[in-house]
Amino acid sequence: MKMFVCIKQVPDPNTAISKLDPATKRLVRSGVSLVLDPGDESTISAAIKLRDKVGNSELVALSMGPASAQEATRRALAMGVDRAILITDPALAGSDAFSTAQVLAAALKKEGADLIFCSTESTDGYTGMVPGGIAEFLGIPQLTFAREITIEGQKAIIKRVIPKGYQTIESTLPAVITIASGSYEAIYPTMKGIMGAKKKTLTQMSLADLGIAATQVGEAGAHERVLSIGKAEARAAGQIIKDDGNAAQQIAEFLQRYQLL
Amino acid sequence: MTPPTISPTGGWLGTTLFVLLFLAALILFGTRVGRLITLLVKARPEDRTDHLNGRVGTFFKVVLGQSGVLRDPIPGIAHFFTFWGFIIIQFGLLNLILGAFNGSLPWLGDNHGFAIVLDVFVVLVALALIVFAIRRGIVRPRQLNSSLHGPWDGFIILGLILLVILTLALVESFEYAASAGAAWTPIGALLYPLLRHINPMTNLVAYRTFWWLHMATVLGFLIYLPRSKHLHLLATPFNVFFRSYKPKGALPLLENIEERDDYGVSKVEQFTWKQLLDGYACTECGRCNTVCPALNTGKPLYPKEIILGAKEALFVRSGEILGENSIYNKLGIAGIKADKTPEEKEAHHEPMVGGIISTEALWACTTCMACMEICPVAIEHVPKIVDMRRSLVMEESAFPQEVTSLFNNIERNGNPWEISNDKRAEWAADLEIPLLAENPEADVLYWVGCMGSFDRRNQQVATSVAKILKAANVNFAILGPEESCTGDPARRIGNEYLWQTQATMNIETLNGYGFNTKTPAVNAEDQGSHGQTTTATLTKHRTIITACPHCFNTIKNEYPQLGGDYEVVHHTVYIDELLANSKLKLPAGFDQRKLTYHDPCYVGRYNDTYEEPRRVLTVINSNGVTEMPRNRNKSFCCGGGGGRVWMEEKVGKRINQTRVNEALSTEAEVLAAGCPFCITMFEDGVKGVEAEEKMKVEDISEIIAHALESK
Ligand code: SF4
Ligand code: SF4
Repeated sequence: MKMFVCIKQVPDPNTAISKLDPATKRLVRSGVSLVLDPGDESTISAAIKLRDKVGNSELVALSMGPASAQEATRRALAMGVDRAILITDPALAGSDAFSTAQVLAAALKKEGADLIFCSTESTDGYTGMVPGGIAEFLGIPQLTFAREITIEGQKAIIKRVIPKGYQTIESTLPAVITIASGSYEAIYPTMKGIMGAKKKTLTQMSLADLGIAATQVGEAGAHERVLSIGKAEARAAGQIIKDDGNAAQQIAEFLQRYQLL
Repeated sequence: MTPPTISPTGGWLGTTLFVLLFLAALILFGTRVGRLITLLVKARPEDRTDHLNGRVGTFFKVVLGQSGVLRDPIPGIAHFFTFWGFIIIQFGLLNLILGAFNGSLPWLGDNHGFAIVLDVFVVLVALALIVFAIRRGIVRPRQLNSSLHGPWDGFIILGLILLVILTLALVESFEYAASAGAAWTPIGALLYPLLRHINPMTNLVAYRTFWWLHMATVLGFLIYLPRSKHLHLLATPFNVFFRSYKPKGALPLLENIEERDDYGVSKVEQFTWKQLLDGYACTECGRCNTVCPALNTGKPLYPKEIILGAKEALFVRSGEILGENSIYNKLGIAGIKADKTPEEKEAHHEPMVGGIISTEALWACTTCMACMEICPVAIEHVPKIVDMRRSLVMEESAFPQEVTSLFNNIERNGNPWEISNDKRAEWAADLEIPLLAENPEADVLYWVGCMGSFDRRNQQVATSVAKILKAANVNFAILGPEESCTGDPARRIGNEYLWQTQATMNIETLNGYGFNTKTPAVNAEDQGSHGQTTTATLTKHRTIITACPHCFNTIKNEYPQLGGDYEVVHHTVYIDELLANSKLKLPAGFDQRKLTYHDPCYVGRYNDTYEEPRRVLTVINSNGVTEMPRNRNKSFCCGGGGGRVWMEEKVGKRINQTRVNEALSTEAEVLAAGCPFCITMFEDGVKGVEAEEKMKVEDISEIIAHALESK
């Protein structure tokens, strides 16, 4: 089976002080430390697990980004992905979710994929639209918020996280599966992985390779415009419960209100 | 040389029989020992031939002087006499053997002085055996249990030694009686009044019978030895001789880390010969178990079983290791339990780690080194444990899940948290402390460490250290964002690669500022005119100080492995120096609270620094230091070392609370510490036992800074 996992390099969400460029209204990506999206690390781990379980399969990491995004694909290779493809082209700068999905879908079509994994959303832009876009462009089903995946013949069955528990749903293959955050522990690369990553193939593709015109993508082809940016509302202070004898009761009620109990 | 009065064998026939028996036993013994030695020869290499003079000295002290076991007085003294009795009895034995050839030992054979010494030791060994038997049979300290040898092993050995001395005494008595006093021995003379009335023929037969019994026992002992815990008798002298002479706080470097096939130890074949010799030398005394903080709070870690586990793994795999063509496998007289049947092999097919040695045990270790400190035969537990962790981390990626973020953060941010390293100097924003980049000529670099830089509680310690340095007019600076995690937690957890990356980076920074005491510097002018380089002598004494024992230990003892040689001291030592040179003046006796001091493992046992912190405390505190029952090299870990502070403690009692309770038992109001991790662990522990009202946890620097401020 041919499996793909779509990944992205993002400003380290844990340390970078997010800066927004008031002119372009976009996230500043230079001068900050860039890492493989931590969410993608779990998605990659989920994909590796499934590849090993299904057997006789190849797992390819697919990313779109500047040449520096190689670092992120290296990490994916070190974690255990078999090979990686980086689509990089100056014309891609400023692409929106629509174009990104279009470009990734073109590469996936060219390669031929049975199963495509994506994180639910990226940790920088949080649009969450790319996986759906890919499914749409490829004309295949999308299974979202998976926390457990099984492959049976030509069928994918997932446990899909919903507010009150989970649903079990299935679809035919090929399909796009998005992973519910927090469902899979990220694999920490072994030394063999780190050293082996240097020898694995990392293919670079340009727009020309995919037969996409520069005008369709990037700033030029963007369908979305960021109209304005503003400060998020400060979070309301939490509730502190002092124990005057019925703290347990109050905590239980609180949890019940959010259907956590 | 006086030949014996009566031949013990009764003629050449008996003597020939004895010679044959003797040779057979020797061959059997030789094969067993040969097999053990071959296993060592086939193991990985390791050089232990440095410091030869020191090695000889230690050998005298520990082996002949028995200094290791004597630290535990009762069994220690008993062992001392058994050991020396054993050696002296060998001479008696030689004498008895020579008797079969109508000869005797030159000098000693007919010497009354020797006869007296020999008999005194016979009695002393008998007394020692009583002590041992009471310990093993009645007191039964838990630490004597062994997974490798059943309880019978100890008793078999005690029985054999008893038989040896008993038959020896009987040989002496009946020989004395049969020769009517010509073969003088004190025991013979003592018992003569009882035996003189027995008919001489009976005495002669008894003499010969016991001679044969004595020989049979000794030869039996010889054959049994290599497969019992008393293998230590043969191995310990070598183990002590080959003990490590490297700084004890340094873990061995994993060389060529980018080009290796394996990273650490998962199979017993990956240990070095010295690590395997440790197993042969283990006396199974269990002293290490008695002091282990993990075991003593209910964790599944028995340091003794780590050593014995490796030994067992070696033995069960010995067939495969030696190879089919090995003479030992062909002879089939294994003597040690190698797996032979397919079922046995199947049972041990899994690697040693995760099989005979459980991973839970490996993760429970705080690397406190209490086990190594107390082991009487210089066995090295911690490097073995870390070697096995290395395999788990770097080969299997199998470690407590909490640690993943630690690794990622150190790798990305240069500190254990999700904090940008740019903020490293923020704690010092209002303190007017120059960065080294602004004051590159500073005499002293204060290495703040991650805890001091980012941890709220420990920022107060860092502030105190800075205040003290200012009060003493020290020209110092900090690195700020140029400082990165030393890598110590990564190395202790087994991520050697991450440690090497961090260390290399920090060494580059420190060398860049000229702190390396060994860097050959190029003299620009010299090179211009003569085209040669000279080794620059450091014009200035430049010291690195740190309040973190873990930073201190790894910079001092481990960075040299990668070419980083620095003069680095723990802040308490530096403060002690400032006091001694009168650079720092303190209001003596200012602090009047009752205080106890906890020796951090990485300052105490790792670097033998016990007195400096106490001296400082004695100056500042009117009551001096009230010691806890376990102090100095017996200090009981806070539970945070070896990366444990980053892992959850799910099993058993809490180590930190155990130590806090010990501190509370001294009725101290202050628990003085010298390590950011100890402070964190203890404050947590104090809260856990609800003793916030009773006792405060303070760094020594805080106590001093407080006094300076109130002056
Ligand atoms: S180093 Fe400490 S925790 Fe580890 S085995 Fe030895 S005594 Fe136990
Ligand atoms: S390792 Fe040392 S202290 Fe522990 S049982 Fe063996 S000899 Fe005794």
